[in-house]
Amino acid sequence: MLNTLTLKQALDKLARNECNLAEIYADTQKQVEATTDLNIYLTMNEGAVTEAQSQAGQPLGGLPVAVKDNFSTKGIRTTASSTVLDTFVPQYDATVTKRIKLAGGVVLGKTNMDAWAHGSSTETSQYGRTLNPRNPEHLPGGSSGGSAAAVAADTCIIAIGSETAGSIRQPSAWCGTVGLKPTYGRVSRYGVVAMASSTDSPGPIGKTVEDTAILLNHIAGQDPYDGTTSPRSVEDFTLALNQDIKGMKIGMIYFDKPELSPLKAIYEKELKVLEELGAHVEFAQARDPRQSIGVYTVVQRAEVSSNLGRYDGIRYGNDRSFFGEEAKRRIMLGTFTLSKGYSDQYYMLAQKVRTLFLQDFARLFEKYDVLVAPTAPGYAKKIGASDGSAMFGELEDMLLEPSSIAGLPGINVPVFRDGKTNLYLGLDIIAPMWQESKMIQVADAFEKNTNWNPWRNGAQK
Amino acid sequence: MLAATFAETLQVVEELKKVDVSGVEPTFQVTGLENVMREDVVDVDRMFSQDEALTNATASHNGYFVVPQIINQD
Amino acid sequence: MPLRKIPTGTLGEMELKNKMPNTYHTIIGMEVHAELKTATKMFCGCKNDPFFAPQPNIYTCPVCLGMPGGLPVANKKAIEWTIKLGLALGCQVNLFSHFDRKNYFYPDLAKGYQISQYDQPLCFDGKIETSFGDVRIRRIHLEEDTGKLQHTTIDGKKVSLIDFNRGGVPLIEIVTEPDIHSPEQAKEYAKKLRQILRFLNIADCDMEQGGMRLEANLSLSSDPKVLPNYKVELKNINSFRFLEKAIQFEERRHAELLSANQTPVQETRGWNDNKGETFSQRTKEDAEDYRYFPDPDLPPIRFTQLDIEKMRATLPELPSKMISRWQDQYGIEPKNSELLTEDKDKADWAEAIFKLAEKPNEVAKAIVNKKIIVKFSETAAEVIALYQQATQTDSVDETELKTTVETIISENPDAVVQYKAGKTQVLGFFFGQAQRKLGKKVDSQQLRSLFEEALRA
Repeated sequence: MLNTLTLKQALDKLARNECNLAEIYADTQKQVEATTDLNIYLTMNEGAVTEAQSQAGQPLGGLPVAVKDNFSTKGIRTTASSTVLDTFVPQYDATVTKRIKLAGGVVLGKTNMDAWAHGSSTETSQYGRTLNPRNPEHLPGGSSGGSAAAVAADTCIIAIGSETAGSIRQPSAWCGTVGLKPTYGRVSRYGVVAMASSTDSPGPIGKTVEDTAILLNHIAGQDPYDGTTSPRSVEDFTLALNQDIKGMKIGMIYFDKPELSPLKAIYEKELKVLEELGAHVEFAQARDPRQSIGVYTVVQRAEVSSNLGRYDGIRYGNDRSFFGEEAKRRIMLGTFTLSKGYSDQYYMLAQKVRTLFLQDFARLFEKYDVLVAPTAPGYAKKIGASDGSAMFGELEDMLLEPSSIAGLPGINVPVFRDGKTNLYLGLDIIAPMWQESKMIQVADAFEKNTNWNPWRNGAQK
Repeated sequence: MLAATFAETLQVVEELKKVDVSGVEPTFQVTGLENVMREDVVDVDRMFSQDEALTNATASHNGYFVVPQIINQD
Repeated sequence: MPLRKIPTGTLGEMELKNKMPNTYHTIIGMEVHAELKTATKMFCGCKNDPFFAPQPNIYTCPVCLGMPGGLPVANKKAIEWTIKLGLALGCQVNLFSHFDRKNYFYPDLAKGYQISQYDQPLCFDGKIETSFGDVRIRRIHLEEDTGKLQHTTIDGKKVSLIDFNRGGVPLIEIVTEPDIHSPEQAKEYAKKLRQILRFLNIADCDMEQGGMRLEANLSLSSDPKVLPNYKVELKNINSFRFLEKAIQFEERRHAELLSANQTPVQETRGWNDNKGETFSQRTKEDAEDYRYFPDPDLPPIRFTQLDIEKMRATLPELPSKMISRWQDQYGIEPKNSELLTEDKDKADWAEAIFKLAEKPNEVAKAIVNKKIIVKFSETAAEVIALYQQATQTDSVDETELKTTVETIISENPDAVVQYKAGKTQVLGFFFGQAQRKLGKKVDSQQLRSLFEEALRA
């Protein structure tokens, strides 16, 4: 089935005329129909196949890309999984959308997510939860749960997600896919429904490290429409593939957390491969990620409460009465955090503790090339796990929040699969700011020298 | 119910107070970028036509957005 | 307790005036907003032309319409112009500043927050000199304008129509210390500020269109050194005359309340010119909580002292300097300079005329008093020619003149009686008669002295 091809494989096959776009789209469409129960897509692009034909031969070959529903797509409904935007059809593209199209990619459909990206389970979507394709009794993670599931279920060739603190890497870990969160400021946020403006990072979710590197090449780079994007030139990230990692220094962080002790042995065993490849791997002490929860919670909710102020139902969409419980909760806490008398206490304080994390990572990167950690504290949770817990998201993302608030790039690769449940564990590889190439190098080496990537030997079974 | 979830959230936030931040400057922008400005030139590509601007409006009238009048405001 | 309207005529103006200065001091601080005339809006590349837009909502985009994912990028020119204004008013410039979000809900505020400046305004600590004393400028900052609301009824329902052409237009805000102490001073301050804005060519300040908006915070105090514990905010004043009248009204209203041991309610009031009184608009609580925080979408701004000096070098000569230089260089009386220095273009045009004129101050006077009607499009040479034509005097024999004067006096005994009774404007009538009889244009100074002498007899 051609929908199970990776991006690289599909491009190669198309170039060699071993298959054509119509066939790829037909197989993809079949799979989309076969997996409607998973509730991956909210809106499909009716014109996808026609658009694809005119994009043949372009760098992304006219291939189908699943796009998280917080990216504006011109002429295609964009909801951020909230009924506030139930009827909203943007008259403009997000920069990421535009760049994908320019490179010849086609938006296949918009994927489900936690409403407004508030969450780590996709259970707060006002259009129903998405199920984990590896094991549908479990959640796909979030907030880019739909995109990760779209890749895992092979209902697209590659996908786009966004991360505020874990929202690309965590669902990628739970769904057994690769998820790449670029440096903050590497990829434009223009046209992406804003959540936490100071940490939001759009990025690719794909089947292999190579695939995500290819897509990153096309979406990265300064954007005059986003003043927080860096003028730094964008290197060819695929040059970091197939590289020797001999002599690289890798620090293992967070493994001393008591919650992780059941998994510690698994990770230690799997990470040996990096040593065999010549890298120096050792445990390192990082600042307690528990503190980052407070920082992230305060900063994110303050920015969220402000960013949601525009949804008054006048110029588009429905009014505020349509907000779900989670959104309301976050707005209230954000408002409270910023209100007079408290902003010095909480907001300023949070930004100061953020500096401490930046300093801590700077210290670590003086010694190490990259850092590795478990992406999530465990396997994908069962359906309903997030109910009743206000802090569910933040606790699940605890290991990812430090790098997010520091703006660092990180990539998730599958590191283990439980034979009984078919659920995955993820390995998070973190690099210094602007050094995505380093983490891609290590991630690619790991992927190619282990058997955990479902697509490693051609299309997955 | 809301109060309980609030409390849970606040507890985590209170943890922040235990951290020693003496002499530490807040970070509002991790990018370190400064002076990002644009030239004063009209961007014709991005401007909406009146139709585009109003196309998603809940209510519109003669080119305006319409909203029920709020009493007691200017 | 309802506000007692002071009936005119019952309490004489004089009585009231006597009551005021002896008992109360007026303390006023002003906030003025002016729209900058950049080509584009403050945070996006939409056209900045709200007043002359042929249709509503034709200059919008995802940013200024507050659509999902819209992001602001600052207009460099607007920032430079704000600093220029600060330099022109003798302000300090914050070398490091940033933008903040001011969060509140209103239909004309597309994003649910206004991007403004809270704790690090671009400029601070300046002053404007008035004839009543200096008015210190506390701060000047840059922000964006809201859309425009219009109230109407459609199908029997009361609705508001919103036009976002104006949403996002750069707005400069100038705040003074409470250094203004009279309605006249307030008016002079506002006029001087407008003059400078026009001179710098950064704002048109068309008050009727809302291109310049005046706000005054005022209170009365029995002790000039003690700031009162209340203040009333006068808002939505769109003319200098209304400003003056509104303040006058408020002075009387406050005086009356304070004399009755009552404190005026702390609130916002507008001016109703038809009724000739202020009216309550909405209660001003002790600063609505706007939950200010630095806008994470806009990196901060950092200037060097060199940057500032470069900007200072591009400042034009300011009105006050120009007026005193005209006095030194051309002998122009300041009262004639006022109208001619409304804006830079006019001033340059006038100076070109002075350079050519034999008697520059006379020409200035003639233009200002409309003795000659000139057009801005006319060249200096053309204006001088017009002036010469209008004031050309024929030389007339002194004897002939004296005879004519005596004849006119004897022919108009009633007019003579009026003149002797104190109505000196009758001289004008005499001049006219003289010119007619002579059939020539005579130097008015000469005529005047002859008539006065003859009438003294």
